Amino acid sequence: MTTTTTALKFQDVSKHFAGAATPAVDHVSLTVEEGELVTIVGTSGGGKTTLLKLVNRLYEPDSGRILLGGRDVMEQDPAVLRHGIGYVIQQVGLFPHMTIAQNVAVTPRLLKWDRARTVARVTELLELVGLDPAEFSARYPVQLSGGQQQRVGLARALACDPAVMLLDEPFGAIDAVTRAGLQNELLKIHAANRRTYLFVTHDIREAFRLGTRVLIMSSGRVQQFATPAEIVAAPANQFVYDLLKTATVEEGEESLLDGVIGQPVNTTEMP
Amino acid sequence: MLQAIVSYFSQQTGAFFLALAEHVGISLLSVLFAAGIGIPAGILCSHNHSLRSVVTGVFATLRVIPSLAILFLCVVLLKVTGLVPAVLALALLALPPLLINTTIAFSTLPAAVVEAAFAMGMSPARVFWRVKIPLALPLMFTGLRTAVVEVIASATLAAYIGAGGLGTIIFTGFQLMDNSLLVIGGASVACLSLTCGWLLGRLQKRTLRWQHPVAVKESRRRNLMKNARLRRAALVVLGVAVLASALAATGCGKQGAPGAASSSASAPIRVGSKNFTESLILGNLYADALEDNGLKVDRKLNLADAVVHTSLTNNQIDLYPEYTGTGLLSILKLPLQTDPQKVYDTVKADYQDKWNIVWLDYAPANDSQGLAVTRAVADKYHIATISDLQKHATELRFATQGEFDLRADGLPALTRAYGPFKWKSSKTYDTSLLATVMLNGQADVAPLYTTAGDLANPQLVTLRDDRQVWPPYNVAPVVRGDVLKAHPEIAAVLNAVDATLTTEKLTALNAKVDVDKQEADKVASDYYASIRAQVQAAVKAG
Ligand SMILES: Nc1ncnc2c1ncn2[C@@H]1O[C@H](COP(=O)(O)OP(=O)(O)OP(=O)(O)O)[C@@H](O)[C@H]1O
Ligand SMILES: [Mg+2]
Repeated sequence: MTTTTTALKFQDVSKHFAGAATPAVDHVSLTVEEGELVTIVGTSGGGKTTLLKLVNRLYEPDSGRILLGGRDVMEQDPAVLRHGIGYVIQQVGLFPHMTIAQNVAVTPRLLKWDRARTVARVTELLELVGLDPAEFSARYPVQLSGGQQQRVGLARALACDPAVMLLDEPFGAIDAVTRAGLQNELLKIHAANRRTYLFVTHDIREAFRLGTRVLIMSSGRVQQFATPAEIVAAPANQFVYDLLKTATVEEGEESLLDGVIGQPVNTTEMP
Repeated sequence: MLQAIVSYFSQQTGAFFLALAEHVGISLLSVLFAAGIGIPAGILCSHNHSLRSVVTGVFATLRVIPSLAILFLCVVLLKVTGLVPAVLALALLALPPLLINTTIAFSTLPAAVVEAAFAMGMSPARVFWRVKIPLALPLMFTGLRTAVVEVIASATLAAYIGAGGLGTIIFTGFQLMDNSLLVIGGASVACLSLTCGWLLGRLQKRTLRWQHPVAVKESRRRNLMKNARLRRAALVVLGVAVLASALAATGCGKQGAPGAASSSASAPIRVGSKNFTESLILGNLYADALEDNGLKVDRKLNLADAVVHTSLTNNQIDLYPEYTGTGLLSILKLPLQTDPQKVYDTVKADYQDKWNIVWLDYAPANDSQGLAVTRAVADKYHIATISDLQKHATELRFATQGEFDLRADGLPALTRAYGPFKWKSSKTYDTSLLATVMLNGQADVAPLYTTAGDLANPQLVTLRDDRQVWPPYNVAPVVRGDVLKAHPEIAAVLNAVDATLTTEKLTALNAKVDVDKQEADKVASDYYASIRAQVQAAVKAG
């Protein structure tokens, strides 16, 4: 057994937006070890984005504590905290008035890297996400397709090799072939530096393929948080079971989950 | 018409560029002032919904008020004319587009982009300057463009309150019924406004390249842009040409080519005057006298104070009655002198040097600042001079139009020379009421010009300025040198007329118009008939 340290800890965290009928995040407690790649799936409006934004303090919890590297995020300077957290925003959110290269260089500039190092890093990152730096560096976001923009968003978040990466549906607008390539790239990057990743996706196949553990969320609550194999072997409740079922394709074809973990789901045993 | 325009530009180049510079200056100041308030206020409004609805409501209402009304309102409220109220009124005009566009720009910033900026660890200040401002700029620029175009167009009105600018050309043209000036002024304002709008548009495109970046098919697009630019330029030229010819067509028949020199012997003498009773009478009187002595005359009377002198120097009129004190203080802006002959000699020499304009002989009449008391008070306290008045000030009730108490050459100047005036009471009335108030026994002293028609009433007495605080305002015709050379007889005729004009006579003439409500031209021709023999004798002798 390798020893692990805790990267991120949610202690009974709740977030209730004013005017909302139910809390967006409802008494969530969980622990993520350093180097994990946690994928998060669940219903739309289930609280996934809220959970990520609580980590980098875009939202502040109503109750409970979030510990990052052992320290409560609420006790840290938000700017410093955020410099150490890469964030790929669900709506991409590139700076439209900056070129692609300038977009990727935002965090290096904030951290006052010298020019040469910044330029080298930008080139490296654009290649990593499959965009030819010669062609794309000087372009503006409006000149890119949705999928290309998402890749720039990923490069921008990775720029300063942050200890924690929050990825909110980073591959939502990317075609299946490119997506598979990017998934492999992401796994390689993750394997190389063993940073802690929280990766939100609507694609259950993607969640089960990438995640060291999968966090299933609904109505602001954690439905199950376990390795893909454990979840498939023993879905914790009806919600998880139904979710898995949506991922199995029509009769006669192989179940998606078969392909992922090589084990058929025994649905008849479910409650 | 075209010839008149060409001759204007060849002769009045300096005056034109001065007006242009003033126009640009006023507009720039106003827009900067409005931006300094509108942009921060717009940002504040974008954060606060109730503030926003109040402010936009106020400005929506404000926009309904015509700018001319705002201009005059500023003059009335601030009690000053010139640059300050003009800039204030124009800034008020520029404020709504700047403020509203800034508000919209800042409340429609893409939330995801701003959130991304914060998530990357930018400080709020950095997010503001590096993200929010650049993203808000396109809309703010649009507001700025609207403001600039509106302000440049409306700055034309600033001429009405003496702030200068291209409006003075239009204003003068209007006063003189000179269509070439109207066309020059109007077209210049239109060109300036369009040019500034176009330049700002270019600047906007350049600074905001990220919105429409030039892509691969650069050369093709460049060509298209060039064509569009050409087309727009052609449109502007066409518009101006149409405007000019329309204006020309409406008025060309009435006027020949005014603005052009008229020193040839056959051209009529263009006689001007200012726009108050005394000047109107004198203008008519001079014109009658010249006509009677065989000269052709064109009456261009009733000109605003602001344009009458420049009309003469710009060769739009040939002569008008002016006051020595006005020439010294207001036009030449020289220090105060009180000796009538010295003042006259100074203005005569300076006008000759500067503009080749001749002051003919001055009349004995002096239309100066003055103080009047009722006959009863003058007799009771034996008051004949302002020194006498000062001694009895505490027993007397003062009626004023307000301005006199504040003007440097009003009560403050008197106080310096004569000592304090501690009136028993002091009340403010409209200028036109001062004499009535005294005659009704409601006041004892009031400021009145020394030739005011009201002073023809024997119940009112003008006090002597025994310490000579006020400069003399002797009236005399000022005549263009070239015209006098072509018609030397003008001097003899007008000098003979002026010699008859004493303060008492002028006061009586003013009273016929202001008190008896006769027409100025009738009063002038009646008076000329009475002095005709005298004038003709003098002309013959001279
Ligand atoms: N800023 C906010 N103000 C008010 N309510 C919010 C806000 N952000 C999210 N919510 C609400 O909180 C709940 C959880 O939203 P969240 O964005 O976390 O869902 P999600 O799981 O990311 O959904 P999706 O998969 O559609 O992105 C939703 O009901 C949403 O309407
Ligand atoms: Mg979400």
